[in-house]
Amino acid sequence: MVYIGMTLMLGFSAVNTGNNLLYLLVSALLGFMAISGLLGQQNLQGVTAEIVQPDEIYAEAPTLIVARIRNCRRWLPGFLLRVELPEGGALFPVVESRGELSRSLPLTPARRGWQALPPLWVSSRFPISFFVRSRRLPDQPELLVFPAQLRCSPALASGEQQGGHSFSLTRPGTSGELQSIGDYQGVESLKDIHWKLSARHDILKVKRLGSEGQRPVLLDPASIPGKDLEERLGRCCYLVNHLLGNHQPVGLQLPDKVIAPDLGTSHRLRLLRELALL
Amino acid sequence: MISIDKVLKILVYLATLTGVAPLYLYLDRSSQIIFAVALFAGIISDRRRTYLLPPMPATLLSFLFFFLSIVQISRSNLVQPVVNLLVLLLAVRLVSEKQGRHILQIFVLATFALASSTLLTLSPMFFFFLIVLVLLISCGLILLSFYGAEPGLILAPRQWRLLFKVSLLLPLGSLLLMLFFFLILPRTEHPLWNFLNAPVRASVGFSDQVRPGSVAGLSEDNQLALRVETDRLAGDDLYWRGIVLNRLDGQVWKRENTPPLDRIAAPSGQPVIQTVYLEAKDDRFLPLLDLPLRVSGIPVSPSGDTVYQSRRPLLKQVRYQVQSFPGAFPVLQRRDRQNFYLQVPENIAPRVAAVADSIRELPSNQEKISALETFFLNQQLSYAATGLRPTQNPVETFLFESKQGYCEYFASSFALLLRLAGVPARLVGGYLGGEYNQLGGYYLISENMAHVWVEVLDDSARWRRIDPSRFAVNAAATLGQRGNNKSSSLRALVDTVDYYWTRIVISYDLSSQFQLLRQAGERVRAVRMVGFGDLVIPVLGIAGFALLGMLFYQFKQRPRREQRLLNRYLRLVRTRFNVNYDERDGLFALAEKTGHPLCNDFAAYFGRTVYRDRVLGREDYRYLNNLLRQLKELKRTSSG
Repeated sequence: MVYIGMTLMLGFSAVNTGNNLLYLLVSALLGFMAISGLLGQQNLQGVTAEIVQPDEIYAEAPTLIVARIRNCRRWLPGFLLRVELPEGGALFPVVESRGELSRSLPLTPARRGWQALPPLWVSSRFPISFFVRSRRLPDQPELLVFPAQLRCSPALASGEQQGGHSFSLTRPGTSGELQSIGDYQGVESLKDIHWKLSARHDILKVKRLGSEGQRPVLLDPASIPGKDLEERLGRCCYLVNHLLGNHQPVGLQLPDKVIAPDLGTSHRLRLLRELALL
Repeated sequence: MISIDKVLKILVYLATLTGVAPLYLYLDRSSQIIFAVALFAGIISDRRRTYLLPPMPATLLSFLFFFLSIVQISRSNLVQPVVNLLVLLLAVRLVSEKQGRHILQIFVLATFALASSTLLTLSPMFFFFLIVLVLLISCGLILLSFYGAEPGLILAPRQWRLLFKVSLLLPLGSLLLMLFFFLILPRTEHPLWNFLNAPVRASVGFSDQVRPGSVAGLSEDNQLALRVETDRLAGDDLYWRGIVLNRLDGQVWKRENTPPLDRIAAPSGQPVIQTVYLEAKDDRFLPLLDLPLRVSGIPVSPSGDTVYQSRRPLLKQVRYQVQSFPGAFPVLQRRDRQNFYLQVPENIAPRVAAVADSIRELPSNQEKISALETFFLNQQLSYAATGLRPTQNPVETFLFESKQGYCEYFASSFALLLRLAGVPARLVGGYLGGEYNQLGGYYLISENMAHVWVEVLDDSARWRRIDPSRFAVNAAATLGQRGNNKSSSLRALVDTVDYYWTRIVISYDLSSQFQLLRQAGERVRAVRMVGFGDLVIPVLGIAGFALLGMLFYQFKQRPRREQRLLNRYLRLVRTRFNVNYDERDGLFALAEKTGHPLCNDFAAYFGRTVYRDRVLGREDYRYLNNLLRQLKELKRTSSG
């Protein structure tokens, strides 16, 4: 507004005084206005941004998601680009031509399940901060939000208590009980060779041992205490993370299927995904 | 790594200096001192990050300066207090804290300061300061937007370079558009606030009265009087006719506005075409190369004695075209009216009358003129522009006692003696000589070239030009210097800049806009008249360039050989195995998904060569191509 006011005032003075030097100055100001508008408009052209799907995100928990901005222009870098979500934005001061950058954005999903992201805006005050130009980006893919975790006692997961079931887990290992006898494949340790049995057969036989770990747990969300489904899922979610964090195999007893207890990140994410979509 | 803040502060000080520099000399002494001190203190304050003025005192001081300036404003003193106020407000901002909005205020004040300088001077230096200021403020505003987004932002050198390159587009584009807007912005013929403009120093010009002996000497004012665009002329032809003085009242030559009519004798040869750029002046007489035949470009009123006056006051620079014939003579149309040019005052000094009497006896005008020329030469008169004693009887004193004087002494004495001897004579005022600027192709005529000579009616009623100053013993040394001087290189360059500045910028007005429009219209019409055949070659040329450009672009866009191989591979995988490629997984994961050994081979080979920055050789290409062919065959096999 200051700039427009100044230009108008000097323009008025130029016309009324007929002073050509003032005309030059006003012309320069008008030229500046035009070019800055053009640069500002170009600055947002060819810029795309996307939200990188996070591995895990929980309802009601503030988290940081990654926004990735890409400048598809051939020559012109992007300046002062800001990717905005309702809860905050991330500033990208300089994005080179054909370059991309990532920054974190705060987000607190309200509910579990597939959630549409709020509209994503990319804005810029370049080249001069008199105007902020913005552009709404195409809708982003939905985010899978896990249930809000509700802290509870791990004892809820024990087989004796409601909600927990004992479950035998046979996992190959090196220190557990003997599970079976198998043929030597060439990769087993020499100490695993069952020499007596090998002597009776023509080929070497090896002992297949079980894993010596904690007792597997099968969680049934319907049996977890809680006043409603969300509370039960929240506790279940907490238990999955807590127990798997303690290397205790966890499975899920769902109304239509059973997921056997297991360990590992991909298994944990699978369980959380099932809970989120229940 | 350089912070935005630091560079922005430097730009702020440079912009301030650029805005104030053109008007600094016009400021009050107190404002000059305050500004200089504030600039110095501001730089130190920014380095120490402690400011002399906290926000509230700074605001109060600004108000104080404002009211003090308002009090000084009057109708006759409007610009000066405003200019001082702008600089004082800038000074306050320099010594106080500089947040984003303060920096913006400084930029605005610097712009206004530069704008206000146009009310004080119209120097071409303004253009230089304008360009620098646009450059600085453009870059400053860009950095200000970075500063506003994140005040502590620090950019890497490469980011600075990118920003600098793109930032330059803004001032360069603005300056280019400035030229366009300057031409088309609306103008009025009679600006209402003209009184605010820089006062035009009207040139004294040649006087409409000649009174020898009234002053001790001529001023050596070399203020520009006019510029004349024409070819280089002979030194003796450079008489710029302005006014004819035809009546002698006592000691004073004056002009009576209804002289007898002259006609121009049929001139021979080519006319000299001139475009005259005349500076503002108090009277309306137009200087023209002697002898002018036609004047165009402005409304004029010609007089019977070949004097042209503008119909409008010459309050600003004007331009007009003239056709002159340096060798031509005006001829008195009615010989019976020659007595008009024989009028003399009553009291003539005895010695002067005696000289006239001795000449009057001669039978023809030509002989009388020759006798008077001989008398002047015998008197050993010398030309002097200074050190002359004012006297009551200047002609007698000049001819018989001091024997020194400038052109007015020579011309008025000569003309008076001729009239006393019965030869009609008149004085012509104008300019003699001119410095030819070869760079610009024009004559520069300044006020100190003002001159007076005599026109004498000869026996065939023709007005002959006689310059009595040339009878001075030192004429060659004094008047000779005026004839067709050539400017020194530096002076010529400076004056050429000033000339084009005035011609293109300062004098651009509503009529210039109409003229431009007319010319543009004529050009458009001229283009329409061009036949189709004339357009074939340019159109084909442009089309050819466009085609070449497109081909070059396509070639540049064409993927590299490795990329083409990869694209073919991914396409085959998608069609044969219905597996889509995900960049995050990579080629090996993709091959694993297909479970086909050919894909494994391709991933392994491609990864070994391309991903390890090896150049894909001919053998590599052949091998990978072969794998792709096999993959293609696979489809045929499975579908067959």
